[in-house]
Order: sequence, then C-alpha cells, then structure tokens
Amino acid sequence: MNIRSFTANADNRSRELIAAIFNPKTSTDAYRKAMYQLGQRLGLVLASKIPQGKNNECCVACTVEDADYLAAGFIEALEQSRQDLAIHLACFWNEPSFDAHDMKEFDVSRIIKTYKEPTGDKSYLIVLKSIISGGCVVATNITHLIGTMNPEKIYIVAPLMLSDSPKRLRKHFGQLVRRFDYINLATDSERARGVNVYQSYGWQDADDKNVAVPKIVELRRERLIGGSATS
Amino acid sequence: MAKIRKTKRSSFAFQTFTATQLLVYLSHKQTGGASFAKGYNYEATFALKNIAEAADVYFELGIDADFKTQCPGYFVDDLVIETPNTINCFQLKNKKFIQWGRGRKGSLAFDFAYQLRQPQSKLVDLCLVVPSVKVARRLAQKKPITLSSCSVLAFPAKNFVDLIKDGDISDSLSKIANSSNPPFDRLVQIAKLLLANWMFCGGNSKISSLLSVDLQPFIRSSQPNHNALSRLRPKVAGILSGLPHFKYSIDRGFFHCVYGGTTYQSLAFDCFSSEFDTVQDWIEQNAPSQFPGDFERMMNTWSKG
Repeated sequence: MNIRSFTANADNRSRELIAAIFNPKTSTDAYRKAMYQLGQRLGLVLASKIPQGKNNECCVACTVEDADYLAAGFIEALEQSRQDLAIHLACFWNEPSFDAHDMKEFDVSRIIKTYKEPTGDKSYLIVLKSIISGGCVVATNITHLIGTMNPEKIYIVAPLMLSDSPKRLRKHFGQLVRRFDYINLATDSERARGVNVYQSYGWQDADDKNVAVPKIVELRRERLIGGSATS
Repeated sequence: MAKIRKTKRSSFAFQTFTATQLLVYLSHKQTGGASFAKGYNYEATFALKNIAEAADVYFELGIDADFKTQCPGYFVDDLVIETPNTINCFQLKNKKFIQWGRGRKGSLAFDFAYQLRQPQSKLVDLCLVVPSVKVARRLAQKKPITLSSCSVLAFPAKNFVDLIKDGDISDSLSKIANSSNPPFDRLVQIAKLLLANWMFCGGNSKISSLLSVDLQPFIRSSQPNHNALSRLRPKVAGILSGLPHFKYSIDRGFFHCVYGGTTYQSLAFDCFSSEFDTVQDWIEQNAPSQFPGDFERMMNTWSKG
C-alpha cells in the first residue's frame, strides 16, 4: 500500500494541490493550473536555497509536458523573488523509458529534441519534473546537460517523488550525487496506480505530447532570436 | 599486440597433463569468469569497449566479428574476438595483486602458455587485461620469456558512465553514434543498449546481432555519408536553406537540424529510408517559409523512434 508523506516544504495549499493531481475527477484545466501553482510553490522554496552572489545563473531543465505548467509557474516565482539570478531554460522531448531486455540497470529514454538556452558552465542546475518515479528521464536529461556544463549544485525538484528515486539516481551517477539536492513536497512509498501524467495534462499519449511545442519555448526562443538579431 | 605464428616450449616449470586432464581443467575454469547474474562487471565493460570498436570495423569494412566468453577449448577466454583472419584472446584480472605465477595449473603463465600451444589456422593475439597502468607495467616487465609475444593492457575498473565521462571508452562509442559529435547522454544510452544486448545473449554473439536490437535511432547508418548527402533533393535543400535561423546537416547518414542556436533535433530514420522520402515529399509540397509552426511540429513527429 502506498504511503504518502509530506515534506517541510509543503504548506496546506500544496497538500490540496497534490491531492487534486491524483484525483481522477480533476479536469485537464484544473490539473494544469494545479501543476502551475505547485511550480510556483517550488520556485519560492528554491529561491531561498540558491546561494546569493554576483553573476549567479541557473539552468531550469524540464520535460515538454511540464514546460507550460509546472516549469512556467516555477520560473515565474523564482524570477520574481530572485532578481539577482539569471534563469535559463532547457526543455527536453523524451521518449518513454524502457528497460532493455527487462534489465532495470539498463533503462533507456531517448531524447528526441532539446531546447537549450545558452548557460554558463558553472550555473546551478535545477531539474524539474512533475513526478519522479523511475528516475530514468531525469537521469538522461542530467546526463545530457553535464556533458556541456559542470554545475556545482544540482537541484532535483518535483512536487512528488518516489522514496527510492534517490537510490536509483545514486546508482546511475556515483560520486556526482554529492552535488544533488532533492527538493520535493511529498514522497510516495510506491508508484501511484491509475494516474497517467500525459493524459491528465490533456494529451492522448507520449507520442502526442512529443509533437507539441510549449508556448514558453516559443516565446523565449523568439525573444532570444530577436535579441541576437538587434544586438 | 604481437602476432604469434609459432609457439615454443616454456622454460618455466610448466606442469604437463594428459588431454583428459586438460579437458577437466578447462571445464572447471569455464564455470568461473564472466557471470552476469549480479549485473554487469569488469569483463562486460571491457567487452563493451571492444564491441564498439568492432562495430566501427563492421560499418567501415563489413567484417562481422564473433564475440565469445568462456569458450570451450580456450585457456585465455574471458573474451575471445574472432574474425575471418584473427583471434584475439583476453584474460581479465580485476585484482590488486596479480602475478604470472610459476607455470602451475591455474596460474596465468600456465593458461597463456597452453593457449600458445594450441594449433590455430589464424593469427592469434593473447592479452592480459588489468585495472591499472602501474600493474600492467609491472606484469609486462615480469612476463615469462616464453610469453614475450603476449601483451598486457590497462583498462580501468569503473562503471560505464564514469568510463565514458573520463574518456576511457567515449571515443570508441562516438565512432558508432548517429552524429560525429554525439551528446554525452547518447553515448550512455548506446553503452546501456550494447551492454544489455551483450548480457542478454550470455556473452556470445556476432557484432551484427548485437547492433540489431533497439540501437537503430542511436547509431550511424552503415552506408557512407556522401551517399546520404546525395539523397537530399536539390529542391528540398533549397527550401531548407531559405528558412531563417535554421541550419541543417547530414552526418553519419542522418539528418540533423538546429533552429535559433537553441533547438536541436535529428530524424529518427536515416536518409536511405522510405520515411526520409516522405519527409522530402512533405517539404516539397508545403514549402515552409519558417521553422516554427507546421514544419516544427512535423519535425517533432519525424524525430520519434
């Protein structure tokens, strides 16, 4: 039986929102709003965690399905409370993960597309996901990013995390996990049944969400292109 | 590694055995070594590096190497790589204290000497693999004279992610990726799939079989890149070249593109496929004037495996 516990980061409102995203009667609109608000809550928590300093930068990495909701709320809250911090976005289109030959240690999730704003080598890395369970998608996206940057701190942020996710990530990353800091609102002892994140967000399936181009990506990308065209 | 054409009798005090005794010895020896029951190990990560290198040879020259572990009749058998012309036998020792021994049964010197005595129709290379350069150097210096043609190689004992990160196997894996400059995660995924396929087949497989399961969107095309370039229709090339802030390339047989310096993607199929013709048909018929919008959404559809 799944046992859900809440962390000190969760206020009463977060508890209600988490209950809502696991309620099958929650509409697509309400689900998206709940994720946006959970993102805002997590943004405020992170704002107090990231050290103050000159030329501080962070890269917020999310998946395509979370981009316009969880990530948009998170970035908005972080921007408003930490104006000293330059925030860059990375968005990943991942195929669903699978265990090659059913071997758990060989879980694979192909990245089919990336959107990545220019980020300093030493930026803080914030990896955001609505629910972290197997950890394969998170591990793949971190692996992609650390190929080109060397963050001194990697925040793994989610409204809800499975209790054994840190163990799985530790196995994958070895010594690098010393740089990891997990920030979540709730922890589940086992995977919740009957909840499909893609369908709750309003997509038919993983293929469907991977065709989408999030508004936040379109807007930020055009702003960047416009900026580089005029400079 | 030196090529061994002729074997000599050892000056070491090698024990001699009857053929039956040797068969019993080999059958016991082959119950040890590479066991995948507890997950991948030193032998598997060393095999991974060699599989990637043999895969490159397969793509370039069409030579399909046969990879084996625990081969019947072999004394040096943690990994045996056989091609039509050569046999490479590797013995792996992931220990701190490693010695050749004095030629008694079970010692490295015994196994290497008996392997040298086996009649072979092909060129045979024998190699001892150890986890550190220091140990490899010491063992090379203390090698029995009769084993002078055998080599000692250092290969670090690390998990495969660290082997890639530290550059121990990244070059080998990069050679078979679907782009010349693959991101770190793609190398990790290629490594995972090759290791899984290797373990699934129990450490006995041809390279072509190891590459045939699940690896297709991650690895290069077997055809030369200039052939892939010639598959791009001039009209399509003209339309793509006119798109603002859009750049494309054809590398390792695959179509890759970047928009605005921030958005990267590749088609999931190579330029020799019928799917690539469908992509070109769409571009010709719709003549997109910009990447965002319909063309980007179509690219997303085509990038899926």
